Amino acid sequence: MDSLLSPTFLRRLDALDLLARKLVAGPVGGARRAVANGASLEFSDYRTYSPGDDYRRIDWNVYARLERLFLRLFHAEESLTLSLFLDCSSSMGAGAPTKLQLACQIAAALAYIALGSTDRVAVAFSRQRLDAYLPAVGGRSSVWKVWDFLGRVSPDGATDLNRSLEQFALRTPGRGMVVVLSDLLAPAGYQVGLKRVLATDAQLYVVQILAPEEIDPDAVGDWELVDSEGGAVVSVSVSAAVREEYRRRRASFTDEATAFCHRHGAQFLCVSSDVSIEDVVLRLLRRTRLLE
Amino acid sequence: MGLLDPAGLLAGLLALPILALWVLRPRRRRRVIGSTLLWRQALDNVQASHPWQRLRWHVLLALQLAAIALFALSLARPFRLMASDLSGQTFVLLDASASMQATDVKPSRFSAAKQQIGQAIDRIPPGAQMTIVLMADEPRLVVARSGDKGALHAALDAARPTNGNANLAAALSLIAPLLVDDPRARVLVYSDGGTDDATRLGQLPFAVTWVRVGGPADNVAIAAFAVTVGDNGPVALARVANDGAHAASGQIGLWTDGRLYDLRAYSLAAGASVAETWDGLPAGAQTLEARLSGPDALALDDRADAVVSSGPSTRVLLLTTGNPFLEQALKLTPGVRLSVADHDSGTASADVVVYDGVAPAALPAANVLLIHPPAGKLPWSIGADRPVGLLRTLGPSSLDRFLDLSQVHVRTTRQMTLPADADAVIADPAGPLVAVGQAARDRVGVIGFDLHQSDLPLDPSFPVLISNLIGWLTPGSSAAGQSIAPGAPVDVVAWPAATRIVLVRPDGSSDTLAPPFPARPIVDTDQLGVYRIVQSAPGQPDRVSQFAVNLFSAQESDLTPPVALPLIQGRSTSSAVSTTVPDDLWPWLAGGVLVVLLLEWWAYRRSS
Repeated sequence: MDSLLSPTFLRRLDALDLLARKLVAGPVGGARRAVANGASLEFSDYRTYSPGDDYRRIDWNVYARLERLFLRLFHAEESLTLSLFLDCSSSMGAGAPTKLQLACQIAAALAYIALGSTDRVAVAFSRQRLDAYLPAVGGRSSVWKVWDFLGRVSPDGATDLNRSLEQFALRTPGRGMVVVLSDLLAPAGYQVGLKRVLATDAQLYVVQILAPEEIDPDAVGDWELVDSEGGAVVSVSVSAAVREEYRRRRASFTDEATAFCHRHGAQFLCVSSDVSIEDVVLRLLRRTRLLE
Repeated sequence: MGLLDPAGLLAGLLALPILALWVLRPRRRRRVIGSTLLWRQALDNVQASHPWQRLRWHVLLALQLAAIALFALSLARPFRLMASDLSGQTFVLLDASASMQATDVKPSRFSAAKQQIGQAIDRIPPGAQMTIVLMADEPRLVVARSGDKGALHAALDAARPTNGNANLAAALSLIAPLLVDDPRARVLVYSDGGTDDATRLGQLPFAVTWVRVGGPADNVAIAAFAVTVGDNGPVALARVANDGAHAASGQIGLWTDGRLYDLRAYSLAAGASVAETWDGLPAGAQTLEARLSGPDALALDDRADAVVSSGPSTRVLLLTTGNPFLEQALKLTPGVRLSVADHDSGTASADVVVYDGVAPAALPAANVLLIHPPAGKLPWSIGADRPVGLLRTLGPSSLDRFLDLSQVHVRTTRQMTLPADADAVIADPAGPLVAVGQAARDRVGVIGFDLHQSDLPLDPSFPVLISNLIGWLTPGSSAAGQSIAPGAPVDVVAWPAATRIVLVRPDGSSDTLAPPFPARPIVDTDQLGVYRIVQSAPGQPDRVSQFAVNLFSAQESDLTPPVALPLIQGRSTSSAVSTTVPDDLWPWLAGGVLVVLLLEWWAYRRSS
């Protein structure tokens, strides 16, 4: 993982933090304002005392003036869980560097940022189903554990994003942040799975990673294109017209994903696998308000 | 419109493999990519994913199918009906006489005639044939019964005009046998009308259509030019004739051996002529040349040549016991330097040896005239005397010309048996009396009777006969010192000592006439000008004889076309009516195929 993220880059990541646009609902206390009232110093509201309430939260000044018991309510501050979903199918092995390499670099960087801010990080690998899952870990020292987990992944197998995301949604704590790193090139689609993730009330970021040759194919002539996920063959005579049609279709595919995400309150970003991790994290992810 | 060979349309099936090549998918290279999802979706719109692909419109495919369609259509030989006057057999007689070189029609009458014939060739319908005859002094078949337009055009392009006359009668006689079986055949004569008379052929069994080339044109010609040697040197005479319809004036110049000698003006009314003479020309002059200045329609007759001296005189040795008639006749023969002896003391220096009543043991290396030779084998079988009947002349024209033997009587003559290569000049019903022939490389003449046993020496024909025989035996040429018409053949008589004979033409080109001996005659005398015959012998100076070839033809110089050709039409030319014939369109379609293929190549190069 050291080779993925340079020390210089890591120092720059120290200045960043995840931008949680929703109230979080974490299992343990943390630095995020929680959806529930809690024991932080930030005042939230008053309510009448009920038997069983904590005496320590009774506002005695109000009782002195009104002779009625009111409890002072404060925002609870809880930790945020960043769930990283990585598509590890064979198609993620395309490109140089591969799409999966960039996905791992992004995941590693986000995990580093999150764990440095007392947030918790969970990682899932996806192929035809949820293949491997690292439950949420917290603490800066967990960075190595996460990075080690990311370092063991390799592109292999077919893709079933809907099924994997459904399984992933069941393990997502909810009201956390979910980052899906995938090329979205799943024959059965991805929309159903993303909807299930969104149903957990998580803050969803979808990062589509495509290889340069998938964005603008360089092949010319007569080809038999073999799908890396299952060996399906497509015979194509690549002419200027065919290339133009492919570009149109690829742009339309990305536009559909963008529209889907925006329609459901998710953020979408499409990057090429040959873009540097620095550029992705420091520029593109900040633009999507994932980081601040 | 119609199709001569509808089966040719089957060639349209060639479009099927073309389409198959477009439908079948090409052999492809394999490449593993991340996902084919987007490719499948994109290709759904542009191509099918089967061993064959959806046939899509492409300009190359359209051009290929168009080429196949044109090719199949051309094989089917589409035609359109057109009126043609050239169906069946067409015989074209192309006037190649000198007058066809007149330039009143640009570039010349001959070229214009060829152009018109070329257009006629292009109009030949399928199945029709054309024969082209070049009409000169001797008609020449250029191409016979050919429907191949390329061959006809090639033969026509190779045709060249001559400086001779147009022998219409000979040309018609040449094609007449070919016309017997085809009453529909047409005869087209492309001529300016200046042809020999063909009325002697009588009524022709076919129709002749005259395609007139050229019209009335002004022309001034040197109609005659001659030179004789007088007491004060050579004397030249030239006659200038205006054959045009308008008065003409100009200058005539005389050149001696290439140097301008005199220049005189002339002025002639239409149809008039004038004679100019020059006396006292330089004694040593060998050739004279007369030229007219000023352009006219025909340049060939604006120049004439004459030869003053035909070469050294002929050395004749007469071996006789006494014959004053013969001696006198030989002395009267022009150019003869006579020596007389009574015994054979040597013949090495003589050009012609005349044996009168005697015969050598063997023929000498010289041309020989034997008079009443003894019986024996020289030069051919000579027998005893026999009685003589009614005389008649048989010999070549150069030997029997001007002879009138009606008053000549001969008592007896030697019985002669001639070989195949010998010719009788004078004969009676029993056999030859005078004969000529070839013995080895030398010429031999034999008078079989004793001149004293005949009244021939008293007849004016005697010196003429002797002159003709000596002229035939004299080394040099039959035309030495003379002016002959273009194309006329010239005999060459070898000087006995000559080992090599060379002809030098007016344009400087040369040709070896001998060896082998005897020298071959000169037949290509179509060039106008002075010809030189050079005979060489080891250790002796060359002997040169010259002759001139001039046009001197009123028929060719008169460029005004006649009203009609000089012939008697066999049937009305209207019998050769225009008929409807199919005009084959396949050459145009074949050209279209070529154009489409070139377009297809261009489109392919551009797209790639």
